[in-house]
Amino acid sequence: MKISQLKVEHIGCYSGSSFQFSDLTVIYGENRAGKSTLIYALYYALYGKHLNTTLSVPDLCQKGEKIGAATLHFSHEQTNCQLWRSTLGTVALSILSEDGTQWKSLVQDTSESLKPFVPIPADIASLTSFFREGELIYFLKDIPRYNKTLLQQLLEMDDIFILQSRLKKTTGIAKEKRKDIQVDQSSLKLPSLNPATAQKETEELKTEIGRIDAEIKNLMAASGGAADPRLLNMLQRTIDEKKTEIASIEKARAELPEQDILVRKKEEIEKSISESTVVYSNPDELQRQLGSYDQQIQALKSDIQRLSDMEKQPSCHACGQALSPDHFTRLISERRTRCAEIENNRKRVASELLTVQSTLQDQKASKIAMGTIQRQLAEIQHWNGKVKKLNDQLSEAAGEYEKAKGTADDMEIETGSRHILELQSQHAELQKRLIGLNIEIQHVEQRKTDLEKYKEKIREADHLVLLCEIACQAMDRAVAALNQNLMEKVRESLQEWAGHFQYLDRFDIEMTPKELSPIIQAKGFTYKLNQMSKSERIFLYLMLKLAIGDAMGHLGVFILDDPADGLDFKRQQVLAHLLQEVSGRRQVIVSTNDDRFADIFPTSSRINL
Amino acid sequence: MISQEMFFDLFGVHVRQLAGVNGVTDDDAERIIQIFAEAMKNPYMDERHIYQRLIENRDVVV
Repeated sequence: MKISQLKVEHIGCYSGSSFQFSDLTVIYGENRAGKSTLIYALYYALYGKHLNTTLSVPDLCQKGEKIGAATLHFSHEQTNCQLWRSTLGTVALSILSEDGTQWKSLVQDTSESLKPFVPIPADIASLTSFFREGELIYFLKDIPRYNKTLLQQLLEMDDIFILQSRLKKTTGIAKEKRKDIQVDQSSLKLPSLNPATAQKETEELKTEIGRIDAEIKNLMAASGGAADPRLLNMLQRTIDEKKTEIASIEKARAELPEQDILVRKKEEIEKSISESTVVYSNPDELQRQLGSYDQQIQALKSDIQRLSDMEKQPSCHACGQALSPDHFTRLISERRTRCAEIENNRKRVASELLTVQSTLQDQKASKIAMGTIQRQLAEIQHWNGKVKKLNDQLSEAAGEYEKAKGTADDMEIETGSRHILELQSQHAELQKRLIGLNIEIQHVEQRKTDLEKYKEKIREADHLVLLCEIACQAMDRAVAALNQNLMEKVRESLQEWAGHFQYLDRFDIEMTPKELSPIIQAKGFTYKLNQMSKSERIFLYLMLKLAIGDAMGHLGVFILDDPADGLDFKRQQVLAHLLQEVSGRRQVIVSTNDDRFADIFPTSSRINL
Repeated sequence: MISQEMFFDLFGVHVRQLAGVNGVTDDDAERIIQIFAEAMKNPYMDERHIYQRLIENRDVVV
């Protein structure tokens, strides 16, 4: 690529300007004249990005303007191109027709479509075709840092190393998962049961059970088909239960009086109650009469006492009139007679009250006795009913038993039953064993299925581990290949450029394949980077950029923003000479604010801002 | 990274090569490359995410 012209509109300090470039162009201007802006505009026109990664595209616009644009004229593989890009992201590429008369529009979309004309990616171009003084900050310090080699640092390989580490950890996770599955599988032990043997045993058991069934049927048929021991046992048990129940009821009934006695007593009580038809006085009324008599007697006695006291006095206390003793004697006699009458009446009423109370007490006792008798009679009737029912059931069971027993005598039944019972017991045992065996067989089958599933899981886990390992190995190899390929090319290129960088002649600079760090030797001594002078490191850095550019690709243009800053005039002369050398192989665009440095270059190649 | 494209191409070449040697199918090799591309683009995709992506849509869940 060769850049011939750059037009900028509303970019930085430029409202609308055009700049022409030759094989070696020096952009000279004081501070804030717009030198760096031009470099940024060149990078922006090519890639639509800001060269300074700490700034964004809108930062390129002129103050007060929302949109800026840059148009770059360049030739690539004998094709003249015009690349226009606005800060809004619009891009347009046109190529000049072969006769040189008209521009033909090619792409108007993405940077992907620009690849054939701008073949180097933006990040590589930033490293190999552009130089900013800010880049030197870390390079001038003690590097490599954080165990990174110089090349790794220049290539910004941190992301690769992080990803490499993550892939290794992913492999660790995959292995851990596989181990977990293996542990789970090992805890899943197969039972010691041999399925073939178990199956054989099952068949044998089935045959034996069939044989016992047949024998039981034969025995039952031989005993007339009547003496089924299980039925007889069941009936006997029923009879026994009924008898026990009846006995317990009889015992409970024996504790009650005889039914006849109770009936007789009941009749007597009923008779006595019906006979007592006399109407008795109300005991409460009699009680009130007694109280009334007591009050009257008390009043009369008190009156008699008062009259007796007055009888002994000659005159009245109140009026002083003389009193007649005969009159008092008569009055006292009348009151005593009256008192005697009332006392007689009281005795009569008291006697009557006693009779009434006694009668009422008797009636109450009779009613209680009547209730008890009625309850006992009901209980007896209930027991009688139940006993009758049980007796019926007993008779029925006994009949059934006799029927089941048939014609066989007890002895025959007992012998046959015992044999059948033994066979039935044996049958039950075999059935139990058969069921157990079937469960075990099912268990074994289930375990087998589980084991197969685990095997499948382990196969899959192995496969995942393999995929992870492949990714890790591929990563390692890619890193090694990247280093190796680049290293070879960088080493070759370094040797070539060393011829031009005569300033560094006294150093023997080479890149070691292992460390990727330059080994610098001078007069037999090994130097570290930070043991070199600043100017030596600047030259080394530029040389590395050129060498890496040869290895990774470059634009064919080497654009430097103020590389002479910090160099004394002698070193500036060396740098200028070097850049002239480089311009023989690549187009060089260099900016400076140092007029002495700018004056070293031919004036024809100069842009004064 | 300075040139993702270059490294991605290198990685792809080695994955396909190793897959062939280890008897891994082309589909699986492409899966690795695809997941690697995602991991390169997404700095927050850590080892757990990578593993999760690897086991996604597989018949047997490990």
